[in-house]
Amino acid sequence: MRSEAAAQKLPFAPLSGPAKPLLTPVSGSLLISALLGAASVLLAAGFAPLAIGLAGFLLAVGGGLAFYARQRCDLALGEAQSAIRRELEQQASAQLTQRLGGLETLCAGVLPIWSGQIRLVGGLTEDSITALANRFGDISQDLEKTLAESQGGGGMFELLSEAQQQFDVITESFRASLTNRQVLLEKITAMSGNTEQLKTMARSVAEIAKQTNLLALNAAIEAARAGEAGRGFAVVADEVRKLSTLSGDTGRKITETVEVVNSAIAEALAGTLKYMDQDQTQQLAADAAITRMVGRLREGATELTDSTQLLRSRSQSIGEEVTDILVALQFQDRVSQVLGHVSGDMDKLQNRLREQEAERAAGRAAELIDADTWLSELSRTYTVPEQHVVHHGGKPPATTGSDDITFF
Amino acid sequence: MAKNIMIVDDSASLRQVVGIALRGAGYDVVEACDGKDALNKLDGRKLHLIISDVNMPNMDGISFVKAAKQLPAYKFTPVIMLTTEAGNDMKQQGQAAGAKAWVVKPFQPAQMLTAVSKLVLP
Repeated sequence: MRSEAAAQKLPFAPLSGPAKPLLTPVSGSLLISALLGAASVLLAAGFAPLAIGLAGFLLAVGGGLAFYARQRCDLALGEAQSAIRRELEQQASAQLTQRLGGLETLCAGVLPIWSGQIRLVGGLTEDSITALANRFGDISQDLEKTLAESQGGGGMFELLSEAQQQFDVITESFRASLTNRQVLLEKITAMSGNTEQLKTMARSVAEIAKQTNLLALNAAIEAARAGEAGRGFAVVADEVRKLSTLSGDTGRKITETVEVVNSAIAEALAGTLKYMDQDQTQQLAADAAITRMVGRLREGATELTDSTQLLRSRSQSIGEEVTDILVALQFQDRVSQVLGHVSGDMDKLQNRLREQEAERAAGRAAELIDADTWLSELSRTYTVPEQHVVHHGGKPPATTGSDDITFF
Repeated sequence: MAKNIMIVDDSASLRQVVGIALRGAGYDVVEACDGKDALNKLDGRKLHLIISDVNMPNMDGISFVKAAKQLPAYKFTPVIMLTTEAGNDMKQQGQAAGAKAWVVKPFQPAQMLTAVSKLVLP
């Protein structure tokens, strides 16, 4: 097989060459000499039968000699050509063996280096992609947490509404308190009117006491005029006079007390009216302040909600981007598999070359590598569809996330 | 209580990507770097699902699934094959080994989670 290959790649043309000439120079000379001899005999002896026979004999001898010379020449030429061909083939084979030996030496040296470099690159990318995946995984988790926490941002409005309701309850309670105070004030005012009646009644008591005192005084005079018989009545008249005096004192005290109470009520009314005005002013101010505050908070909440919505929208977009990146990072798995097949095939070739070298060193003929078989075996190791495309000279398609799920 | 899913793949980055998708969906994840490692980790722990690559060193995914199905504790544990292989021959081998689904890499996390939610044990 090797000799055939060598023969196919010989750097010279084959020796079969053009068609051989009919006569060589030697055989041609012999044939011409025979012709000349036959012609001479015929010219010298005329065309006598003997002369014709002799000329024919000469021609036959000349032709035979020419044929013999031709055969000898052909044989010698063939042997010379074979010798030259063998020599050239041996030279070509030696050159080819030398070149193949150099290629095998190169492969033995370079294949483990290439294979090692490929494994190194595969390891580096694997580490880097794993670290990247970790980072993106953390980002993805952080985004999910942020999104989950931002869900509560929408509750700001509910919180504000609740606060406003509480404020309304407080304000209403304040208003009710003012109303109650107003009712109380009216009652106190009414009571102030009653004190006038008390004062009138006190004055009536004082007047009655005064009249009673005069009556007691007249009774005492009449008792004195009656002498001994009126002594007991004089005692009664005296007691009545004392009672009238006491009634008069009590009437005055009632009047004084009513005056004091009336004065206190008047002061209380004045104070209450004053505080009521202040309370109403404060309530109006408080209502306005609460309305303003709730309004501002509502505006703030609206802005916050808008910002939160924007943040959520952006976070979702980033989350989708991260998902796409995680899908894209799966290229590393395909890269690892392809690099693994390439380095594995290099190792296989290296081992095969070592085996061949060992066979030759043992003096045995090494089995030659069949390229078609080798490529077929390589093709069977492929696990990524694009490898088959590349193997057959095609351009690998772009890979995207697959929707290919088969349920059994 | 979160459900446990085992990921078997010789690519650390792929295990990481699958793990991110599963953990994000609330699953707990157990990782193994090849079929042999995965078999060693089938130590009686409760697994609700197994996701396995096919082409791995030491023990390939098909052999691993066959071996796992021989273990009483994991006989009914559903298996999803996750691989770059898309040929029908390989899919048939996976089905014969006991797999319930075949997902081709690169996968979309949403699709993977759909398959997981359909098959994961209650």
